[in-house]
Amino acid sequence: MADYENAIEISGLTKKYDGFTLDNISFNVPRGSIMGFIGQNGAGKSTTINSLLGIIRPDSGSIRIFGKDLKENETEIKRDISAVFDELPFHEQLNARTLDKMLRRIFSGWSSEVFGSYLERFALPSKKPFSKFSKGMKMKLQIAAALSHGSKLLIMDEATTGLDPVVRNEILDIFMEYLQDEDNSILMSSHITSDLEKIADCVTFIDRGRILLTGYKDDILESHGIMKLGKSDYPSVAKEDFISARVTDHSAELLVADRAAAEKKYSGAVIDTATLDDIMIYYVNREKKEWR
Amino acid sequence: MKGLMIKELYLTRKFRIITLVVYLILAMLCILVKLSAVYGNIAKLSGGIPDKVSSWMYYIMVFGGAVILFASVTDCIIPDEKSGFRVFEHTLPLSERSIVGAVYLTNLCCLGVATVLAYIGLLIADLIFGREFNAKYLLYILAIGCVMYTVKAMQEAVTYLARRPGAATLVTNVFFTAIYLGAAFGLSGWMNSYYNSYGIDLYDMNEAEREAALDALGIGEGQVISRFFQDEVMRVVRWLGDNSWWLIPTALLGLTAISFFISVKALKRRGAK
Repeated sequence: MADYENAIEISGLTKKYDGFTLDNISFNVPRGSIMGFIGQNGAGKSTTINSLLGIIRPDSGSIRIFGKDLKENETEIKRDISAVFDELPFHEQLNARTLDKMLRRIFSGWSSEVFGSYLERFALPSKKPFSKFSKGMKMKLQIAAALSHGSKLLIMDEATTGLDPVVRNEILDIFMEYLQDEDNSILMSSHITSDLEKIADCVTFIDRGRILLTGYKDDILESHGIMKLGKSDYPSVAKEDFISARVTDHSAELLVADRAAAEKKYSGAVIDTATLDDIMIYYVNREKKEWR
Repeated sequence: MKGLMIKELYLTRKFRIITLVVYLILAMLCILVKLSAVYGNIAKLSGGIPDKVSSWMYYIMVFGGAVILFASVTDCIIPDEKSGFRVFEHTLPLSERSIVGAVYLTNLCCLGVATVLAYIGLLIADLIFGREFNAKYLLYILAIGCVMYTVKAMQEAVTYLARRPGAATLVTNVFFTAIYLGAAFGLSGWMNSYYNSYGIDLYDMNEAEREAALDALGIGEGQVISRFFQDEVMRVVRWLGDNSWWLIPTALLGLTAISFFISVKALKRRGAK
């Protein structure tokens, strides 16, 4: 594989639909990292992921994967990509054995041994039709298939949604193992920010088709903070110093994007660490500025 | 592409088994009726009926059976849509041409197997019905198979275009209704122009005027219609028959190629949505 810095480079990606526009978005997924792609429903996560996977064609912008232009090298790039969706995309009559036979002939790097070992590890039956699989089993099956052809990039669209914490944990462990290889990268969209907080190296926030934040998770968490104030002190904070504020009858909580600067400027104020969940919620309400 | 062909074959295997069973039941019934025409109650009927029945059973077993066997040429385009496999397919390192090609090639393999089975059925029918082997029937069976393959390819193109099974059915129905209406109006106009040679206009004259005109010529309406079919329609049929060696393959290949092209385009266009 040629040298490249970022597994994914998205630049100026635009896709217009009736009532929604993915608006000129740009972000990178560094090679060897796991990127959490966060946003509320309808924010544009799936549109972005579908563009990356070639499921939809964007109106403009460029996508480079492994340093190569996706449009020009689609088939070649797709040999090293795996996709995992929130729903099993295989026919319910199929079973793992047939899936193995099928994918073995599609992916040159497919390993029946690796696939078999994942089936064993996840305790998935090879002859049982997928219609009899539980949601967790279906997700594990998708992951087993995704990791059995030596792909360098795993793209997941809400893959852990609807799974119980035990299965989610098991799956997150597998991702950590996958990332042991420095060439491997993951782009993972999820509503469950606690999962991303646990494993993501980088985070990208998307809202209403626009990227709000992108960067290393630790940097984002470090720079943001929740400023806690009494309701009477709240008016003294300049509007440009915070993203949005949750105001109750007695207090106000403000998300600040530059925690260090806020601590300096408002020396008496308490500023707590913000979680990814907090950051998402406060950013989503940024236009209202003040909310309950 | 091979992987997708395996998926197609695996998912349609039950349907193929069912068509094979239906074919075997039909063959058994034809043989039983034939036996009855020789030894049973049908044999007791007079007026050459046993021979006619036996002859009909032979054709039903050979050609009707072939139609059933060729019906096993099917695909899982709609199940692909419903299961979400179509989306997954786009993430595979395969071009749209390969994806559609896998469906067409699988159908071609099924067509080959169904043709061999229909030929075996023909030989068995020849033995049981005591008929001489007619090499032309091999060609007729193959022609039926090719026509059904092409119709399937056209349906597939419509399904790729429409995505939803309901919409695909609607488009197919509209298409065949248009063909039917075109043929009906065409035949009507053609017949009228033939009637014109007898000085009759079907559209301007009522039944009484028509009868009077024909009476003056000393012929009945039945004769005119019979002559129309003998002179005009059969002339076209004979022309088609004389040119079928190039006309049928060209039409089938052309339609299949167009269907393939439309399918690939439709799949690509969907990616743009």
